[in-house]
Amino acid sequence: MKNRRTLIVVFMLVACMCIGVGFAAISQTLNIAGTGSISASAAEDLFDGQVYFTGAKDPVNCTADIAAGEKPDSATITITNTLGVVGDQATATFTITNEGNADATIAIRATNSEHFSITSDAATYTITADGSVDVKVTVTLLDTVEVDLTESGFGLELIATSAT
Amino acid sequence: MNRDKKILYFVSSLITVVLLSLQFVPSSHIRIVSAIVILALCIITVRSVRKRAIYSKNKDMAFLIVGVGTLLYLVLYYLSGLSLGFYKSPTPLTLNSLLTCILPISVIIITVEIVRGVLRAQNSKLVDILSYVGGVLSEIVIFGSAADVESFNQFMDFVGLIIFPALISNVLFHYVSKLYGFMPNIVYRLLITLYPYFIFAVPDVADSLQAFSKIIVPVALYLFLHTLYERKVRYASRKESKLPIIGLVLSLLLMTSTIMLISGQFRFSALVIATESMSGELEVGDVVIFEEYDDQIIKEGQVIVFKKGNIRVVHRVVDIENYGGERRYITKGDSNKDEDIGYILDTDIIGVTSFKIPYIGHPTLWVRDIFSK
Repeated sequence: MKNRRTLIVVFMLVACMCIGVGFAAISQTLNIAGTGSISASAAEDLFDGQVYFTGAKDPVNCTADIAAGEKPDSATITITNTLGVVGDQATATFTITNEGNADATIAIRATNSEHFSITSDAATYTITADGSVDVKVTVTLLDTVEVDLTESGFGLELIATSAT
Repeated sequence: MNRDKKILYFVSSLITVVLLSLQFVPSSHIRIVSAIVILALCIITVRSVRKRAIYSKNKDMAFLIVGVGTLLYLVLYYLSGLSLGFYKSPTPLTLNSLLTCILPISVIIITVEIVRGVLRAQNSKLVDILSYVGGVLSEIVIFGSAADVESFNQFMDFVGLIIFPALISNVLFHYVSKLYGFMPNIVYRLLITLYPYFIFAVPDVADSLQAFSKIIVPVALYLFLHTLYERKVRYASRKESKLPIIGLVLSLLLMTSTIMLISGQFRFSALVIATESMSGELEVGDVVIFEEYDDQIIKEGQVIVFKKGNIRVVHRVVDIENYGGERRYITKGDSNKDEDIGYILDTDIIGVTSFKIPYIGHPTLWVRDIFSK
């Protein structure tokens, strides 16, 4: 009988220990990174390679790069938040040049991911012949997570709307 | 094998098998099905098995002790709500809850305890084990089902609030039903299980504290009844060492203070460091004890606990700015390159760290790692 009593008390203490381990709160640092893409491929088809990225500048909370090559048709924006709150933003500006001899009008199509939304500062851009335009891209954190996460799959696509 | 034994083995095995398989059924149907099955088995058992227990002459006293003990626990539980707060009962009394919850739960409790009482009277070890297992499963069936567990937190709630208490309570029920009959068990279980349906507000007690109390109460009742019963047969000349009692009290004090720290509902709380952002000062696996923030002055250089969205962060205050009377704290992890984005307000601060206990948080991280894979 005494052994049974001891066993019950020991089990109770073990159970309490397990509860302590399992219910303990942990500190966290949100680390959600993402790489979004901006492509001009749809525009390239229509403008015969005359509309392309020529620069990336003014990154805030991110790094911004254009693809390698002579006339890059894509760029990336890579976000790292060491502490993320819903609504935190990263921004960068990409320069797009039109080396053709006619104006080019491009629209923007955005693909959001589960944790990021991506927008541009205008719905369409008209790039004059032999001119360039700055497209400001904003990535907004939509949701927080409990563990480190890296996401991709969000981006902007530049779509030609007219050509001459 | 005689007829009674065959019926016993059949009934106890069937209860165990049925309740075990119902664990994998979503909990919305589990109670009604269990109630019907156990009621049928109870009727078969009571009508077929002739041998009944002869109970202790102290059974009325035991009934009183269990009843009063349970009521006392519920009163203390509700009084805790005066400091911890209340929330609206998630299980209000409605016709639907009466038919789908209260009635089936009551049927399960009453029939399981009657069957347990009959089975325990048979003095068969195998039947005892099967009736214990069946009792544990019936308790689990009342509160939830393994099929509903989808995340680590739900798993901990299932284990801490249902499985452990079921295992411990059934030791009490097993003991009581052998010596004092099934009535004390029925009263205890009905009170503990059904009170949220009849009271509109429930104390906002942390899950860890609830789990702890659900384990402590049946153990306390068991030890009290056991000691009371043993005193009747103990020889007066035997002297018992006080060491086990001292050890038990010390262990209980340690467990109680640990659970209180973990619950986060008292002045001091505990937090396990899970990231390397404060490396050098706070390593992964350390447990930091922090004092609840109550508008005390925060100075530059202090390490604070604050919330950002739905996460808790432990970082150092590196700058304090004042904007029109509003205090803004700029924070940074000691080993992070950059300061944290944005700023913290007083309303975001949960506490100020007091001291750390190294290494003891590792088991918590290991368990979470296992479940996150």
